Amino acid sequence: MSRGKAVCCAQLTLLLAAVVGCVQVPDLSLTLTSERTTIERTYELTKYLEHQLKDIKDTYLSYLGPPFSDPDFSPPRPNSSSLSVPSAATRVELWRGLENGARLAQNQRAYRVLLCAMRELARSTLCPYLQSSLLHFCSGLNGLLGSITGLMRSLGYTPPQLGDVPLPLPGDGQPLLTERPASNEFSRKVEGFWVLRELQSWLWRSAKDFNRLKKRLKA
Amino acid sequence: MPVGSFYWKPQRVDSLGPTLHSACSSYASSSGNSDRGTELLVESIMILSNIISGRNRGKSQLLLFNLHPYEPPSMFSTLLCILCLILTVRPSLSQDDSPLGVPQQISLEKDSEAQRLSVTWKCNLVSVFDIEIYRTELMEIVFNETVELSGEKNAGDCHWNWTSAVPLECTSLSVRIRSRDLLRVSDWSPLQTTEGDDLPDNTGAKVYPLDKVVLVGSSTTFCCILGEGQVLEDIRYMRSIMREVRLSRRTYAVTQTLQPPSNTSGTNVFCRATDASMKTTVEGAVIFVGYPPADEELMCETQDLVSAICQWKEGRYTHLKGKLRRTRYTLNGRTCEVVKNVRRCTWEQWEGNWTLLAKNPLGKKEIKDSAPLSHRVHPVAPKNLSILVKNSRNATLQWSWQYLGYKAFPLICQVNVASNGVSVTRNYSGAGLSLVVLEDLWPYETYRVRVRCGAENNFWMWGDWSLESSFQTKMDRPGTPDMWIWMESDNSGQILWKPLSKRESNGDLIGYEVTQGSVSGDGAQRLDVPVSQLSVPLGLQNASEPVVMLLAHNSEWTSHTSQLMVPKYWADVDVTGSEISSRDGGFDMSWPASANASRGYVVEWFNTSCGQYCSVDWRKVPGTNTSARIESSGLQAGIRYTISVYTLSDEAPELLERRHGYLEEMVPAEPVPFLEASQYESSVLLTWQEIPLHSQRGFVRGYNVYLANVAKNTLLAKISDPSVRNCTIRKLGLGTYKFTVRAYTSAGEDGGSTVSIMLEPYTDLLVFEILISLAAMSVFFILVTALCYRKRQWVKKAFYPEIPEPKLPGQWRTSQATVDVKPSPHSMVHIVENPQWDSSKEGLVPVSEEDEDGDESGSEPTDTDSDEPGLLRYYNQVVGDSGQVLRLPIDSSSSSVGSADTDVTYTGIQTSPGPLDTPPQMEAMAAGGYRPQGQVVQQQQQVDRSDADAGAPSSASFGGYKPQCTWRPDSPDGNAIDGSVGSPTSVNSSQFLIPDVSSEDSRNPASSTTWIPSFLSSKP
Repeated sequence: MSRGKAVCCAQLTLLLAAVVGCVQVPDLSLTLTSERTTIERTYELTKYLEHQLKDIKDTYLSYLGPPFSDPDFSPPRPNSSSLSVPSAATRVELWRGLENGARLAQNQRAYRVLLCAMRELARSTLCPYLQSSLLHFCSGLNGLLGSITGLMRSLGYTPPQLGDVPLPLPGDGQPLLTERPASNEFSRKVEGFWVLRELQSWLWRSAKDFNRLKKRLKA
Repeated sequence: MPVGSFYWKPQRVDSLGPTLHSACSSYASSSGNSDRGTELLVESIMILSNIISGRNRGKSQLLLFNLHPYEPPSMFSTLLCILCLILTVRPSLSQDDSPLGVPQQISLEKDSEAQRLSVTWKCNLVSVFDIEIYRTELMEIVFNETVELSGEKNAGDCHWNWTSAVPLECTSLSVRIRSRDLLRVSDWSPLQTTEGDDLPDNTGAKVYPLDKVVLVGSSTTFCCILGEGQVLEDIRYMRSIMREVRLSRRTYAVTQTLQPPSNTSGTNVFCRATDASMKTTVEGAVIFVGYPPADEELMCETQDLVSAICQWKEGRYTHLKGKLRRTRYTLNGRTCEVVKNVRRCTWEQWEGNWTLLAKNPLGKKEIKDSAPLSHRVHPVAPKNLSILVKNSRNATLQWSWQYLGYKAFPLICQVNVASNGVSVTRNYSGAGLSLVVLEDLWPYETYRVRVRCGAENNFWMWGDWSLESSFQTKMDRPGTPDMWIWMESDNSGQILWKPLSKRESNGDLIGYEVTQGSVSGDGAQRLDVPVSQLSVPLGLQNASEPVVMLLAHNSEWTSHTSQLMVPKYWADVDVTGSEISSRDGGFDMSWPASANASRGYVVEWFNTSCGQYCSVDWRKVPGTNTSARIESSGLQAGIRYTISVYTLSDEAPELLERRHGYLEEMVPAEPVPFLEASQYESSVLLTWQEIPLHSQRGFVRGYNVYLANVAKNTLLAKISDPSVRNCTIRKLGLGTYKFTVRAYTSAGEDGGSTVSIMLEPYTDLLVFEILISLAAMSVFFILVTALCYRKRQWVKKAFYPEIPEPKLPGQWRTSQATVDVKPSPHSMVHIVENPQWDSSKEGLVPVSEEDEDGDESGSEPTDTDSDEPGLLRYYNQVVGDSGQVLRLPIDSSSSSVGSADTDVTYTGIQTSPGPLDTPPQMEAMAAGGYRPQGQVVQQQQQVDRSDADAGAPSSASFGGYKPQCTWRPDSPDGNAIDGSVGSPTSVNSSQFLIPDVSSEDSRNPASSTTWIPSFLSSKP
């Protein structure tokens, strides 16, 4: 187990190093090729985190116990949370019509919120092993957020602060979670469940976003 | 026992009841006895009078009567009961008849966490109330009791608490109260309701209680409030589906008993419901089931002699984690934070008494510790270990203390000294101990040291070990080498010495110095030997009183001299070595004391059969000992050792005793060699050689001689003297014998050596037997000859009868012998044996040679008469009338024909058209055995005659011998060979039996040469 973790650490370190190395190239010398490379690296990091999240999610849901660990469990999205997570789901035509800057901004904002949520999730977890796994994942997520921010800068966009990004329209992935904290343990468990689910959705969507971005840059 | 009771104030039954009850019942039960009854009556009256007199006024409001159901009360008892009744009912009769006031201003207050409902109302003097609680929606009563409030009135307010098993949020509850004064009750107050969360305004689904913490094994009731329009599917406690009870329109409750401890994140209780759109929603709550704290073994100690460190153990795991549920600690009223399960708390100053309070939502536990500081000193680990002085056998170790308080504190310290896996701990003590001298160290040895200390007085526990420090002592003089001289012969030997161990060498050993000379000092030879070499050949030849000296050198020192005079050589033959037995893997060698052993003894041992490169071992024994145990890992089983004892003195060592022994005797490794067997008349002499010494592997005690059979070996002789190596087996019969000889030691026999010998008869007997046989044969032949001679007539008749000579006219006797005429290849004669021709068949048609050849050329030879085999074929056979074929031996002439080409088929004689016309004469002929062919003439003649005289029977007989003389004149005619072609041939001779050519010609229009080929292909 520890060996697998070490391997994961090494992979993550390499990916992060590659991503950071790419985004730290001086602005003037950035070419289209290097931007595409940066997108590719970011895409790889996204896929890697998506893969990592599968394991962590299973462990975490097991920790929550039934019904959260049941495969078909899907509670309604809670209406109270200390987090405000925009949904990754959106209409196809809207998604296609997104400008590069807006696309990256949505990703950047989502991961900022989700990173905070994951950190809170790790902090409130009472199982030490799971807690360390979540914190390790948070470091990866932080790297992804940094790479998106760097990519925006390299493409000439200003990374928005939290709340700067206009919220999608209702039904197009509106933020269902408000900033009211959960009142009881069960609601907190539901929140944690949804944080992982949204994170999974966003990682999946981000992969598609980066692919589309890369194609546009190529065009 | 029937009990009549007047109910007034049930809460007081226990106070006065027993007294009156005992009085009345005692009397009632003893009413049968007048004296005793009178006494009891008086006693009862006294009790009652006491009551009436007011001693128990205001409290005696209950009387119990015990009436025996079957015995009518006597006058006294009746009177007593009436009296009691009057007294009992008197207070009630004296009460005010005014109605009781209805409780006013009822207010409800709920504590959801404790599930407690507080009811407050206005009350006056009345302290007894009937209280009813309903579930508002269904108006199900959940509580209905009479309660008395004592000391709970406050300025006319009555207060009463009720704890509900069901969370108060689950559904609305309504309360009503009425006052009670004895049998009088007031009207009920209006219902006062506390609202639950299942009101229509609260449309959401809920599960209660939320985040509750309960004890393991307790029961908890949960309720699920469905959302508006939802239908309950199930309520589950983790994975268990619970049986629910409906509390209201939207509320269902379940109760879980004997709850097990929760896992880390708590136990989930959830209900699933479906709404109108059949969408399933889940709502739940988490309950934490655990234990109260059970921490134990608080122990406070000091390390710096000022502050305190208190530690304790967790005890039973509470199963409660998290900020709200974990156990919190306070030490002497101050909060202690437990980080990563390390239960430890520090205190700046030592306080003699310590109290730790552990508390979690389920309870608390207090543990104490008390001790003065000097009794709880746990020293820190010494720091900065260093070696001040370092010699070859001692060193000075110094360290320092972290705290100043240690300078004068009496300490006891342990110094652990380790080298080469050997660890020794030495104790030192003193006030503020920080320096010790380590003695009895080995020279040139690397040591690792570490130190720990404890309080010398009121020892509490050892402190932590310091970090290790290592050092190396200096070199010292090597030990004197242990030398011995082993003599191989009178003039040669080996100077041997044992290697110095690391301990003995006291430094890096660099070599040895061997000096050989004489006592007088003449002709000394010095030789430097490297460390790896442990022997040199003895180089002294013809020196008088030769002596050897040995020195060992390390890089700094030289050892003392080891000196030894060369001993005399003693061969085994010169010394009678007795056997020595081993014991427990060694030899216990003992010898008689010798006055010459001024410097002790040397016990030497080596492998007796080792040959040139012998591994010699020895051991020096003090002169006071006359025994030694020889034990060595080099000793092996099955090896004979020679053990010698020499005396050591200023002179040359002298042999004192020599013995031989085996560490463990084994069976010989190889069988006896050169086993031979020799026959001496009826005896066999077996001889063999001795087994080589290295293969004996034990003392050979003798030999066993076996007669080896297939099944088993039979012991013939047992030779217990190992020097005897032959054996004679007597009185053996002729035959082959196998003998096995096995040597045996105390461990058993060897595999055995086998020899085989075949005992042959002796020559005299053979000659004698031959002569006897010859004589017997001679007598037998003489007797037979004589007998035959005497009976020669009979013999002649029996075995050689005289054949009468046929009487024939003419020159029969002079006729020439049958000429063996080899017929021409085509000289096949086809003769129809049966004179009667089957008219039903077509006549045999001659086939031209060309046609025949043509047929023969085919793979399937044509047989034109193949459907008539019995009638038409003849191949060295006589064909009878019946078609029966008689096989006859083929003579030389017929065999000369040799092949199927010699087929003889009688076809040419056709006499009668059908078998029915066969004359009896012919049938008789056909039935005969031997048919001389001369008869054919007659037959032919008869046939000729039958042409003229058809059907005339013939009276001729054909049963006897018919010589072939009728054709004799024709046969020798060599010119007639052509004419004989087609003529039948006798089966027993090659003479052609040719009839008269003229007559034949008349009947056979076709020449023989024309039809013979047609049958060449015919098959027998």
